[in-house]
Amino acid sequence: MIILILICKICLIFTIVVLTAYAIRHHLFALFRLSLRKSRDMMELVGFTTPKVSVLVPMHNEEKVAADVLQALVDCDYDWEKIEILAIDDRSSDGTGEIIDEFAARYPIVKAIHRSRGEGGKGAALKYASRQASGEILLLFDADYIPGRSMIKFLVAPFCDPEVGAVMGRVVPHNGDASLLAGLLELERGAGYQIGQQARYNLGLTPQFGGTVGGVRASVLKAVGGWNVQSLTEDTDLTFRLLMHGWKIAYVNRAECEEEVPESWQVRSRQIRRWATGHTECLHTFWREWLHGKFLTPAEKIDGIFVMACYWTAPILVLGWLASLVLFFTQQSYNMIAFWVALSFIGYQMFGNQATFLELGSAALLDNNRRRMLLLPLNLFNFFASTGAICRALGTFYIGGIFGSGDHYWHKTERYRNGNGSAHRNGNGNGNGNGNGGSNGNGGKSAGKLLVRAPNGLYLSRQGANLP
Amino acid sequence: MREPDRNQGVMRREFIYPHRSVRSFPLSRMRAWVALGTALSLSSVVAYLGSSLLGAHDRLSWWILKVTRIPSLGARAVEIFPFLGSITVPDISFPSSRAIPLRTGVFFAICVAGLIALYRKIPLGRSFLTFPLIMICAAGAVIVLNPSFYFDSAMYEKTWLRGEILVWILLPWVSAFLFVLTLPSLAAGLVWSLWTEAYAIIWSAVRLAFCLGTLHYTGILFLPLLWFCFGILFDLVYVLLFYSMALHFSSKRSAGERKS
Repeated sequence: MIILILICKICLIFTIVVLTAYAIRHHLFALFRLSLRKSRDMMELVGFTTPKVSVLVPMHNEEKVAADVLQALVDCDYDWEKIEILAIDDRSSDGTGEIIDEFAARYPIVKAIHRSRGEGGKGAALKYASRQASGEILLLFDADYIPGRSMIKFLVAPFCDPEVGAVMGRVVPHNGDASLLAGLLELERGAGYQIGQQARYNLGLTPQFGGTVGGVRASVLKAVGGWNVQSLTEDTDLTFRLLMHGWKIAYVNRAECEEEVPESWQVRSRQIRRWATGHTECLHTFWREWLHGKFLTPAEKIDGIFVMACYWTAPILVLGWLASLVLFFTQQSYNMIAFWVALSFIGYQMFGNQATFLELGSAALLDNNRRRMLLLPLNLFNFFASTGAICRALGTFYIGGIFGSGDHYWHKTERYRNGNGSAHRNGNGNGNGNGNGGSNGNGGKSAGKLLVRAPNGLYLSRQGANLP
Repeated sequence: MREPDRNQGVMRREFIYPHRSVRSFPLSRMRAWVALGTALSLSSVVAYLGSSLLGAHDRLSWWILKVTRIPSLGARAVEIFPFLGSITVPDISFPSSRAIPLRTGVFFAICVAGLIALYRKIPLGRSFLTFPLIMICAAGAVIVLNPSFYFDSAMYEKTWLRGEILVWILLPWVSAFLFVLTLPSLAAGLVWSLWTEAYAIIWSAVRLAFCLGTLHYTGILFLPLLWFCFGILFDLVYVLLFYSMALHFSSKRSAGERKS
């Protein structure tokens, strides 16, 4: 019993140290971002620099959304002489290829790339397409994204700084009304970008390149080794390689692009498990090199480790819960030492979690996302659910590492825009006065009979063409 | 035909609110000092008046039990923490699981079936529901495998109050960050902070009375489950609820509303 209590105390102290460190970090980010009078967003430079751009859109069975993203990109106000859109049909078995071909036939700036074999995963598709890209800057969009008209200019602006190797924009869910989970994820995305990314960028830490709504210099990508096709999170992998090679990553909060978030827990669970596995892979691959990185400041090194190890907090938290329960219900809690143990138990339970909620709340406050604010307490379910999913992913990852098996497979995220008008887009930017970089192709040209313009402003592909 | 705009010539907002990517709520030094002072003073008051607050808390629980006609066997003195001295808590009678095996079994089966049904129906809640399931199963296992296990209402109240008093001491620091420091209105932040502290004490008494009432009717089967669901975790829920409400009202005032 004494040994068990000793082990529990060690586990609890370890948990408290780790979670307190994360709590301090999140508090700092939230307070810093809230009080930030002037963010570094380089918006005054928009249009100043217009290099040749290749927009890569990898698509694997994306017929539900392919036409929307391509139409929105075609409608962007970037000089057509300086842009090419590489629509990548990545081993699709549905009508994605036909939609791409139709766009390529209609618009000279759209180039259809069909990839029928080779390794799976987004990284592999990007690697394949990057070889055919002629732009100085490679911009990336996932197929479910709907960039605004000025998006390309916004994202390209920071590249006027020769030290900037990559740029990241803000992701804003458009289907937050679709389900409770989607609403909760809208809050989460807000915290991640409005608070986390912006604070990290302004503090000179490690803003992440997210692999979509972002761009990278073609020459820099080549210099750091290109896309890692083995990684489940090729974006995180590239982020750390760029930073270790001394390149800066710029975050542009103003470059808002709408996306679909998972509407069901099964889809979300797969997504978060992929992220957890990918991040942990990056931790194992890079931590040594990262800590010795000669271009990195001590603050960047610490923050980078926090980012790479962020999914470890879930199993650590579970460990702490179990340890504290044992301590709480044993005779140990009757003496004074246990008072502090119990205090710490409650402290990290409330304080650690509060830090995350402070971030969520602060982002909602800045976004004036009034309706979603009331969903804040329900994020506890999301929190519990994510903890479970991450523990499962890391368990599979480590057990797979030991026994040579595991779930190392790129799960494509399910799409919900099915042509019945269910895309809950807010037209001009969320109904709270937030323009999102221009409207999404208002008045734009549809690709003939292939596309139908839905009342909500989105273009529906052939499968959705049963609308009146 | 399109209806004429009644607000023609009038801006829908009184001012153009800056785009969200560049908004901020600058924190003044004064605000930081007020937050620190509030947290420090509230924590000190709770620590200083700890035994009185616990006494008031128990009187309230006792009153609820009386109103709901749950009989008590009398009062028992328990020591929460050495520095707080002894606190008198109500001693509630409850049936032994050995005396009512069938009823306990039925309660157990209904609870487990209900949790499993929820588990299957709400995928988002599965990880959360795992904890209550483990707790009810563990309690059932203890009752079956260790019939001599003894746990009474005083022990439960002691565990409960030990957690709650720590929450009350810590809560002002959480409130300082969530309300005083970050809400656009300082006055609103202070009011929310004080309200949350008062609510924590009153609401804890209500929850404890509910748990004791359940103990009286069903025995010890549900105690771990109730402690998990209505104990410290529940404190987190109402703090977040108040935070979300405070944000909701604040944003309404600070950002204004469209006129059409």
